[in-house]
Amino acid sequence: MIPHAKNAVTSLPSDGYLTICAIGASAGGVEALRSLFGQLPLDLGMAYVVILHLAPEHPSAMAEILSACTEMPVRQVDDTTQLNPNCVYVIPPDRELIIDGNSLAARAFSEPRGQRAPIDMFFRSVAAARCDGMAVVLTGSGSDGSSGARAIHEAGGVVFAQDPQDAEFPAMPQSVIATGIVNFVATIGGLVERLAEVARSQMEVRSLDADRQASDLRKIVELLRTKTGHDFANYKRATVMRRVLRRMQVCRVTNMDDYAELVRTTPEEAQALFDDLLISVTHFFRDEHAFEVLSKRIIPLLFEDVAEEGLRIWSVGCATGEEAYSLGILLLEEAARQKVHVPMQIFASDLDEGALAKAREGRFPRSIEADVTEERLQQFFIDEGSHYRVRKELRDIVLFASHSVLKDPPFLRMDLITCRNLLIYLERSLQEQLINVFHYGLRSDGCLFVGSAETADASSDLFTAIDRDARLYRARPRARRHMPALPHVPIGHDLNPTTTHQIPVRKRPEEPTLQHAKALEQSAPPSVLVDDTYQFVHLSPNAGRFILHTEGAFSPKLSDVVRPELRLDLRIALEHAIHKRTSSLTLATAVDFDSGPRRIAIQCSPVSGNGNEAEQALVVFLDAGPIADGDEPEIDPATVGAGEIRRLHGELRASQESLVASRAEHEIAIEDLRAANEELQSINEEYRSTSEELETSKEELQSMNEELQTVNAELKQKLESISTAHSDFQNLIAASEVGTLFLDTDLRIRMFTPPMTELFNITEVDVGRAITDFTSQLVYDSVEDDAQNVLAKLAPFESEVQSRDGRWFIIRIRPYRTIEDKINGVVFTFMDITSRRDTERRLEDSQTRYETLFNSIDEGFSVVNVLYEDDRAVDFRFVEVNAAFERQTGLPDVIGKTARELIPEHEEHWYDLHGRIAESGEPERFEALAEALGKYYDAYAFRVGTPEEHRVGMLFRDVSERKEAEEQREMLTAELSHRVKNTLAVVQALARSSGGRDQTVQQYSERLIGRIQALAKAHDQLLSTQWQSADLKTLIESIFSAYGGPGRRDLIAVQGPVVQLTPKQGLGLALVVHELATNASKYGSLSQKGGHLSLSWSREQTDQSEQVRLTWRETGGPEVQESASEGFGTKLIRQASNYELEGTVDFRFNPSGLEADIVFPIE
Amino acid sequence: MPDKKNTGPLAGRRVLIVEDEMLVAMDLQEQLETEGCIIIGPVANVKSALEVLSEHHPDVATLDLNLNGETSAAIANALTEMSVPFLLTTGYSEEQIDDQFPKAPWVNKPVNMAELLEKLVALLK
Repeated sequence: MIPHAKNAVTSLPSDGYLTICAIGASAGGVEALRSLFGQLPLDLGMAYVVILHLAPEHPSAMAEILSACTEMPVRQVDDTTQLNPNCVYVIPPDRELIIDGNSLAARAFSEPRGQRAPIDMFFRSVAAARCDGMAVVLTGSGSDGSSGARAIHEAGGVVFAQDPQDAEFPAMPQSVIATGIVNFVATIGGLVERLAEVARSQMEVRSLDADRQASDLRKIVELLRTKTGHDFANYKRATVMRRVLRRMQVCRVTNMDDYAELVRTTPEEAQALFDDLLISVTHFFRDEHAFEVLSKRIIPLLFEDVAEEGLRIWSVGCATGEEAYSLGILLLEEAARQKVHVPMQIFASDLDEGALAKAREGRFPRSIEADVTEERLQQFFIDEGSHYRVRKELRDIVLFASHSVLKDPPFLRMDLITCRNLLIYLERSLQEQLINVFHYGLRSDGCLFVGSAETADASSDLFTAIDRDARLYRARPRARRHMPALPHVPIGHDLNPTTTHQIPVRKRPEEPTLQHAKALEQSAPPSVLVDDTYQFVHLSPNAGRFILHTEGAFSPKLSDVVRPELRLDLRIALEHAIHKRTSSLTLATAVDFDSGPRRIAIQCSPVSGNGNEAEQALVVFLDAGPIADGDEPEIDPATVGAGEIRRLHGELRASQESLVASRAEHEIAIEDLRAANEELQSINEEYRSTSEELETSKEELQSMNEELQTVNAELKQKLESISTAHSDFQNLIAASEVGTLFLDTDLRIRMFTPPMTELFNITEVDVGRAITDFTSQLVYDSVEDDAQNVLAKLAPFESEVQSRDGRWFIIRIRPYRTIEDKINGVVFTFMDITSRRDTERRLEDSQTRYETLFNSIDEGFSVVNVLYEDDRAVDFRFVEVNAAFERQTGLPDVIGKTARELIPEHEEHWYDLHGRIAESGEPERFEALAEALGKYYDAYAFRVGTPEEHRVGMLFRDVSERKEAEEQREMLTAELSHRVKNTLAVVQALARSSGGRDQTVQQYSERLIGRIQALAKAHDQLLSTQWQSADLKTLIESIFSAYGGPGRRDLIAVQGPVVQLTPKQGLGLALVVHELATNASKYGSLSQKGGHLSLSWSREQTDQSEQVRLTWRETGGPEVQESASEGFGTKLIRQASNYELEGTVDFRFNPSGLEADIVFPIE
Repeated sequence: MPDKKNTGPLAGRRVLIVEDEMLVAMDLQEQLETEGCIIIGPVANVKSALEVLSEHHPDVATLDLNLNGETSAAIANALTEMSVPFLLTTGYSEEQIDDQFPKAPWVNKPVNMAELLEKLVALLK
């Protein structure tokens, strides 16, 4: 069992390096991938990228499918994502993936459909980014992945393929296995184990010490040299190192020492490493200098002497075609420079079908910009974004062929052969054989172009150097035109299927071959040596006269050009000699030479060769002497008449000629057939490419089909849940009392619920008809307008309408939006709101009554929200107030405002009170001052609503006036008490001081009562002015009224300006005047007839203030005598003047009567 | 002036009378002089009282609380400062007296003379 790590590593390793495991699959891939990921350990530290052939227009469910198989995160890469270890990334449909550093990017296909190879594309991208990528090729048909796997292999990565036996579709793994670069072929289970082993070994190999590696590497190279004879010491160390590391991973060896030991002990591993090292690398214009020389010196030369069939060039081991195209570019450039039009053909051959396919495609990554000049890119390539594609004109002159130079016969009559970096891998003897083959393939003077590490110097008899540095050689002209023995196959079959109708006219070799010399020694007569195709190898000095070329194309065959009389016999003889290896001698035939007819016999014998066929034949012409006219009788006249014989000869000659003619025709027909065959081949090529496209499409279909099957299962499940949802919906509709109507954009009925039938006269069969065709029970005739409006504005519409039976409905019209957010009509809902409307109306009535009441009461009413700060009520906001509120508070527009905003200096106790009531819910009645408003309120506060609302209502009335009156009354009461007590104190003092030693009770009583009455009169005066002031004159007259009875009024004169006295002055003056008047009536001018009293006063202005001077003058009374001691009365007057009036009194006791001046200040 | 030698507890004591009601003041003066007191004043207002106090240092004082609408607190303070004990006379009932007023013995009007004399004697002890 494979352990599944629960704590899979999901972050990058500390060195930031992440191995990418690219997995390609096609037909049958879904199952294979599920199986693979189901078994794959979670902790290999690689990022897995899954590439499939997905149908472009169909969303893929691959990520979900894989998620179910592994605990590793799986996601479809839709744009660019950072790669993380132990994560699975899946290609999206219609995209190709590429690697950029540690990122994975999805982008549009750069290829048209049918030519797409997303697996190759991604593998190549991994190869470019990583030298240790892993490629896994699973089931599939077609060959996508093979070329990419090759790239990964070349970069140093490891390639895995599913065992074709195990794969549902074996073509794809077979194709990649055929490239010969696959490291492991196994079933899915085996692949999982190998992957795990390689990944783990890779982690260990990565941590090897670099210095140690260098010395170990040298050891391995040395071992390899002794084992294979090839020295890779001069190869780039990094390249060799990569190959060695890959082999180590493949062998699951984690130590270089161990690996060196493995190479030493197992020849197979040494060979495997050697094979790995032999990866050919090619690019455009490789060895720039050499190409320079080629273009300057050789190519122009080729153009000077162009054979009729055009320029022919052979690129041997062309790999992916860069070299062949480079040559093509040079040819086209030269043709353009010389402004000539020459047919040209480049044959490019290689063993590797995969490489050839790429070469044929003519599609190269942008990296070729490094090798190809900007001009050439412009001229010979089409920029396709990520790639360059060779233009047709270039592509057309290159013909790629699968061909082994070691096994297959060479192409012939080449002007130039290039074979670069192939010889170096070959044994020396093999190299020489190849050089021979090339010489054979070249025309005389043809050129050979080899790699920088190769030479043709060893075969100096065949080639001379043109430029040794550039490795350019010229073929020496040689007599021998024989196909040299091919290194890997016996000769025998037809090696030269190409045309025979023309041999270039070139200088013939001068010197005879040894074989001919030998033959000459044996037979002296004129002779010709021919090869097995009857072509001339050599003629003896006298043989020329037997050759007579007839009209028509030149033929190199002896059988075609020998004198016509001999042709038939010769042909038969040659056939015997070559194919049957038997010598023959023909009968002497008359040949009509210029010098006269002669009898000629031909002897034909095979030369060399083995087995049943001969390589060459020697043809000897035997001259039997001239024929004299009339020599005819040599034919036996006894048996045959001479005429008869002549006739037969004539007939024979005629048939011979016709035979020759028909042979010529036959050959022409063969030529035509050959041309037709070539055409068919090219058509075949086209068919093959079409077939490849079809293969790709088939792949996509297959992959899509599989996904569809998986998706179908899901859809079935979804369908079930949809049908459940549907029945739920049906029940919901039935249960709902709400009438619902679905209309499409043309207002045709799509669906409706049963309650709708009560409103519109519709039935189930009316679905599809326009709603406007139906009458409704509603007093509502704008169905169409409203629906159109909703469709136009996409805004819901709502209205209330009445039905003809008096019910009310609320209509809502909404646009019908599909899940894709498309508007697909409108939805009407009709809700019966009759009872709601009734309730609403009642509610409205009650509301109106409440509001009327609320606003008509005289009390102010407010509802407030109490506002808290740290759980303490600190403010409240007015929510509702009645009309009286403003009257009671003087505050307008308070709704929404807080008390602190409105009345900042409102007393704190108001807030406390609101908080308390909101808290407890206990209503409170109270009276309180709102000083800021200057009001005193009688209020009743209570909680409104739930405790959570913190709402307090308050009914209140301004009672400021009542409060003020109450206060004044209290003050007055206190003042009254004070006055009464003061008055009593005064009375007490009067009572105490009004007594005298010699007074009777009667006298004391009269005196006391008089004084009390004087005070009372002053009080009367003061009361009449609210205790503000007393008029001097009124006061005096009221006091005198007690004395000025009828008949006595004239005795008293009172005169003076208006003077207002203070209460204190009034009281004081009342006492003073009373005492003086009492005294006057008892002892003074009023006590007898003829007495007179005048009281006058005036206002005087002094420095600071105004004063009153009041003069009391008695006349006509008894003589006045100043008493020795002052009585209480005088004392009282004096005291009162000082004390109460704050003035002075001056008594003058005139004999005629008392005079007194009282002076006191007034305000 | 006392018309006979008096040897009572108040004899020879200098008493300041502050009383706005002239007749009451005269009465008090007479009664106290009968007890052998030397009377300073009587004075009827704050101004006069403070003037008198700047020249005289009474042993004791009777103080009307309300001097014709004017409170006698200033005089009470001055007396307290001079360490002169004093007696309050007033027509107000006790609860009507301002809390701020300096604390002192207190006689309601109309004055019961015996009570007044008794309290004066107590003040002088």
